Amino acid sequence: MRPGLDRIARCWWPLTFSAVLGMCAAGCIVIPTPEFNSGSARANLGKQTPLAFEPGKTTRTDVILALGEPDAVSPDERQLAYRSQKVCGFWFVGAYYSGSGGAIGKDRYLVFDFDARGQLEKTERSAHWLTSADVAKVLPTTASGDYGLTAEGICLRSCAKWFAHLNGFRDKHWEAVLGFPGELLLTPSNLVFISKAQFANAPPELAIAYASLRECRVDNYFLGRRLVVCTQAGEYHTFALQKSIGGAADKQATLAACDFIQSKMPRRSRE
Amino acid sequence: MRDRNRILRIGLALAFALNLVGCASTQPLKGRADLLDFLADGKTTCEEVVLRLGQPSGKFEREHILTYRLGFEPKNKGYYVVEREAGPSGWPTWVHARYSLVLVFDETGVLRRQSLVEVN
Repeated sequence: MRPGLDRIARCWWPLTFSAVLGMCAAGCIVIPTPEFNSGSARANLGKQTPLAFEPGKTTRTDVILALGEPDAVSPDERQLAYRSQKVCGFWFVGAYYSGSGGAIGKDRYLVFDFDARGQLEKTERSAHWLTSADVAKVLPTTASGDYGLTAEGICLRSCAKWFAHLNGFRDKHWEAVLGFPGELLLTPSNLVFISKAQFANAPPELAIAYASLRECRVDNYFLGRRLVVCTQAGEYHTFALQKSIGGAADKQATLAACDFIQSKMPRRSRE
Repeated sequence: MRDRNRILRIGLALAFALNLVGCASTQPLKGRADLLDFLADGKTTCEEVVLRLGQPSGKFEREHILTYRLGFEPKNKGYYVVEREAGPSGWPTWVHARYSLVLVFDETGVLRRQSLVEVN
């Protein structure tokens, strides 16, 4: 080990203690509590849960019957993931007349791996403090599986909100329509929307062939930009492309998606 | 002067009564206690389940396993189907669902095994 790193390693505990003390002195209070379920995730997982399942004997059906619907699944169903969420304490920060606070959470993940016959190979537990780990990190195959779209390839991919049967900003009461969060994928021949709420082994929530489109445009309203498509049958779909889920509007991605779709549409529709 | 007081009193009484009406209004109880009574191993078909409960929240093993999320109303001990909801991280929440109903069908689409798991 280099001398500098060695010195830092020796000073680890005093540094941590000083940091905690500094936070408390600055008005940050951490109150540890006995662990309890947050109420937003499943509560039927415990430390002993993996022991109830025997590799080589337990099947995927047995696991689902015992624990219920999984929280995530890989596209080939070889992996199932279950998540619990515990609250371990609370933090408060106060300064003069303002303050903030919240719960300190800990997510626990239990991932079951199955062989091609659906028999359990292994179980793996992991944990994530403060925030929930992304599904793609706990089940890496979810991200690489691309929902069965790998053969065709994905030309453009963006976080988006899908507003079904909405004509951009032109419909009355467009502001009252709630969108579904998810991901917009553009393949060489299809516009595909994967909802955030759907399982990775399920078909996409929406798939429209460019050949069936008669219109594609970008609608503007103040700072908002939305991608609008209309099928030959007159069915409208609107998408708000975002830099991240629930994040700021992605103007560049919206324009790029519109250009791409227009280049793939039948020539008569474009004219 | 007396008339004005009377009108004021009537107005206040009406406003109070209207507030009481607002407070007294109750929402109809969700769910049915007999929602799952039709499920019988070896008899109920997959089509029957979808017709009665709607689209499942999860399908596994080439649709041989269907899962439903169920909310529970303690007052009438009623179950009701809840849609799958996901948070920003992509993980689903179980805020509105208390049970997970798991139904396993055979090759002919007949119910073979079932379980009602208390999840939250």
